[in-house]
Amino acid sequence: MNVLHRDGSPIEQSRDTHRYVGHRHFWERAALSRRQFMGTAAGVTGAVLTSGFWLPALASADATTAANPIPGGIQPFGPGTEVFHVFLPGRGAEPSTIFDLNGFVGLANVRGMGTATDTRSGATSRLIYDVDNRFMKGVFVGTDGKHHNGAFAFI
Amino acid sequence: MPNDSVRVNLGAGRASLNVADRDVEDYGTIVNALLDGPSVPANVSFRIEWSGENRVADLIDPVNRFTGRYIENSATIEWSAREEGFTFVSDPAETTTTEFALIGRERNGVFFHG
Repeated sequence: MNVLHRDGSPIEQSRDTHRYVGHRHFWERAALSRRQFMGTAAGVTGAVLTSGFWLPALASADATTAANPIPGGIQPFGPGTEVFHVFLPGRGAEPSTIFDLNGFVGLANVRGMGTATDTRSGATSRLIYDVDNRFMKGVFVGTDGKHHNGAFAFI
Repeated sequence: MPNDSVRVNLGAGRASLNVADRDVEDYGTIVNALLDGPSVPANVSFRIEWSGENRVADLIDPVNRFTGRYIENSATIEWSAREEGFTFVSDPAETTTTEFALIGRERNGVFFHG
């Protein structure tokens, strides 16, 4: 299945219609426990504060109106399993997680380091993070079938 | 979050997302999150800034019904999180490494006319 530039030239092909090219380490990290993830800066570390991972946080004036998710997405547990309505970050992949949107989108897949503190003992440690945050803002058709204006974040 | 938490200036290749004191659930691992397993309440605040212009792409995807003009660029984040017994504060925004970032103008679903 091709994703095309407007002139019809393919941007890239995915061999699997349910997966777009994404960061390989996403799948590697998924197998690590939190205990394995957290450690010192000298080892392989990561601070994973996963939120309501696949649920766009609704914002704005229409705080009571939900948006429709995009129909496609990934199946991290394999073909025939639940579809999570998000595509991994990457060129050519749908960055929005909501459907029926006419507006702006933003996607930031970034990494860095920070300091964690055990508030009971005061002990600190250096950890790495790798996050995928997005926004969608504009006019959307809500689950009520009506047009609304709002902003969403994928966090 | 407030509508003005997202600011976009595509002409300048800039955007920002500000989230303050957002209640979330910490699932601990990605797999546990996907399975909607046990979680603990947490709170996050962050500011993301997009800037620059590495590449501009006009895309149309008739299968997934979206089209748009996207600016691939760079992003920085400063964020913090807290939950019972644990806090995290990221290093300053300028230490962020971008793996992939973009901002754009998009139409999908009923607004897609492929």
